[in-house]
Amino acid sequence: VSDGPNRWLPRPRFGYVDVYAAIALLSFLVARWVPVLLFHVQCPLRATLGIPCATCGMTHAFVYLAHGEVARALAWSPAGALLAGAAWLLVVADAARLAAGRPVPAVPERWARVGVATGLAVVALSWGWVLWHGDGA
Amino acid sequence: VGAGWSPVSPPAPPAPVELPAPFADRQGRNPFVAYFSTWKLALIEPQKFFAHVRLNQSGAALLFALCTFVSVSILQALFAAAYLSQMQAVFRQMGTTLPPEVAQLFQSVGAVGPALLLVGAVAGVVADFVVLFTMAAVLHLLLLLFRAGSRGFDATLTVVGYSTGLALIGLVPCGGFVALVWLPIVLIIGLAAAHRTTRGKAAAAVLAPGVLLVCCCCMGGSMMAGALKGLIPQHGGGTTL
Repeated sequence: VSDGPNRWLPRPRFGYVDVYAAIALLSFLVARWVPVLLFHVQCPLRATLGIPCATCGMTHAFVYLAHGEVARALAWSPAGALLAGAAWLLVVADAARLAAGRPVPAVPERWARVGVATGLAVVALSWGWVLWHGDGA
Repeated sequence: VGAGWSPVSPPAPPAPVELPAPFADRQGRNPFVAYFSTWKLALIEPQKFFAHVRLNQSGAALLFALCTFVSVSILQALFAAAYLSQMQAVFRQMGTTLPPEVAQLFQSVGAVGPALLLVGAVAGVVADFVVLFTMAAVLHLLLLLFRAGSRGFDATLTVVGYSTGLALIGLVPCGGFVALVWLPIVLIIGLAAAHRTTRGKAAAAVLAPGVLLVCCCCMGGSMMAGALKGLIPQHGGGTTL
């Protein structure tokens, strides 16, 4: 008796997207349960010139977002909060994809280029915002 | 000459033959010889190696990176253990002169030292892999932005994976500085060769994060200069407090 054609579908391969989803999951677990904010690492740019760099505040943004404090995460680093949100959405989306046995959707190169340019613009805007308003420190 | 004949175009250059890396082709060979042959090719002759290495074997590049990370972690743990034992000997000698609380603290550190070293070594390997994949992703995204990632993520991951061999250099004195200079050179040559692109585009992708950081510093410096200028008294007048 056959279980139907799905029985013979190849199992989804553990690919690069799954690796990045695993890294994103690890970042959530660390941000949620490891007291990373106790280890204070001074940013070289802030130490020398007194101004935050483009990635300053991202650790705080990850930690606060992992604890559900969205506004505080955005205050520390809008780009960090968006990156954390996107990374953790990737975990959920990849888990759903694996559960459904779907292949990884192909991203056209043009979309990828637009995505990278948008990401860089978001980081630049976030840095400007942090420089203007100051981070949550 | 009949109509429609055009000058004969020169024949296209033959596609380079792709070969497995010695480490990927290690079946039946001494694994150490295969590892160090690959190490030498990737880091001494990156142009030749990455132009001809087979790119659909990125798993071998990741295994190469794993071997490097594990070796480095074990050696670092051994160095740390030797240092810890020396420190314990010093503390034992000072034991009679130290306050009891401090002596107890040193004893407890000595008791959990091996466990800490083991946890640190395992966490170090995991962290190294996270850095490897993050670096490969950032480099590949920047290559895509510069229209230079034509041969896919496997090519970028292969170059980054085999470049991790430089971590062994970091174990010798001053090796960290040498590796810091050597790594971008290997990455630029390797990415250009693997993706069949120009070294300019590869250099743009590899150096862009560093250049952005320098721009940050320059902008910060100019802001600081502007702030200092505001504090300097003009036309001989003094500042008002």
